[in-house]
Amino acid sequence: MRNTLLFQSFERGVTFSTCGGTKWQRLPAAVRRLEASATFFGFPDGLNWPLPLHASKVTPFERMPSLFATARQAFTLIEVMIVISIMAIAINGMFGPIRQIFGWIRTSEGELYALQAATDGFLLMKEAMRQTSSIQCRNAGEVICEGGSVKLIRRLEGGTLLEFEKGGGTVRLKLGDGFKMGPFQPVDGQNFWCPIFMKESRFPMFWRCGQ
Amino acid sequence: MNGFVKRFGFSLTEVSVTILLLAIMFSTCYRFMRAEQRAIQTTRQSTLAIYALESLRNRVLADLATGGTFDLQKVRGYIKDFRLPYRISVQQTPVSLGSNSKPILRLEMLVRPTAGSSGRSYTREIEFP
Repeated sequence: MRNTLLFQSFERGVTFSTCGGTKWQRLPAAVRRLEASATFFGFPDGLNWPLPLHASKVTPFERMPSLFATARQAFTLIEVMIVISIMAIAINGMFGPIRQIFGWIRTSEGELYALQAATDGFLLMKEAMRQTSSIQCRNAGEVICEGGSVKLIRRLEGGTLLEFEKGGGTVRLKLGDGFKMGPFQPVDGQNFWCPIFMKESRFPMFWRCGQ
Repeated sequence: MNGFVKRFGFSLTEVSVTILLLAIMFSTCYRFMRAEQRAIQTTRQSTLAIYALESLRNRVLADLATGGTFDLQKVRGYIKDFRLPYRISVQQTPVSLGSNSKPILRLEMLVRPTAGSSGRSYTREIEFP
């Protein structure tokens, strides 16, 4: 189509064929510049004015994609180096905390439960002893209480489970990991003691009636 | 093809922003977990103090109930049986002459301040009969 279309020279009024290849050189320089500019700015057929843009099935993008498209096929070397540097710094900075976070997530729930159980155990023992007037250690795992609502304090599963027998039932308290009560040791009719193990701590716990 | 640029992969800005957001997320998570750990540590210290000071108190009261006399050195000997990461101290408050107040024995577990937490102390007082 281009070969059949003619141009009118703006300067000399002479008719030229635009793109026949042989006659292209005969076009005046101004026309060549005009056509080049028109093509550059998006007219797909150069200065073939009778064909409007919207009628063309060839879009400007398809005609000259390099004018419009900046589609990236890959990273440049400097970009890859920058990304690697940033990732190295970020991973290096986060490596320690991330391991610590996962460690905390794994242990924190058990620790909270153990502390709650330890506090509950203290309250149950203290309340039981407060109501008791005298005690009698039957063996290392059982203390008979008299005068209160709690009749018997039992130590089970190596001191990780406490059992309080009351008139109306039994209260069982499972102590958490790292916390346990040692064997009950009688002192006299009103006092007994047992070793307490809590993580790295270890100490004798004295229980006294009426207090 | 309708004139839009077809993209392949991420741009450098997108990768950098993603890493930045990940770092912020992990940093926030770390702060939350650290706060939780501090709370657990404080609760552990409190639980330890409750047991230890109550035990000492009961032992001193048992001594006094059996007719024993109060002796600071004796209480310090009791404290030596305790294997704790924190120091327990005992002191007797002075009684002013002419007043009707009774002497008070003060038991104190002291948690020293560290880089991550402030120090605190737990006190239990025993009023002599």
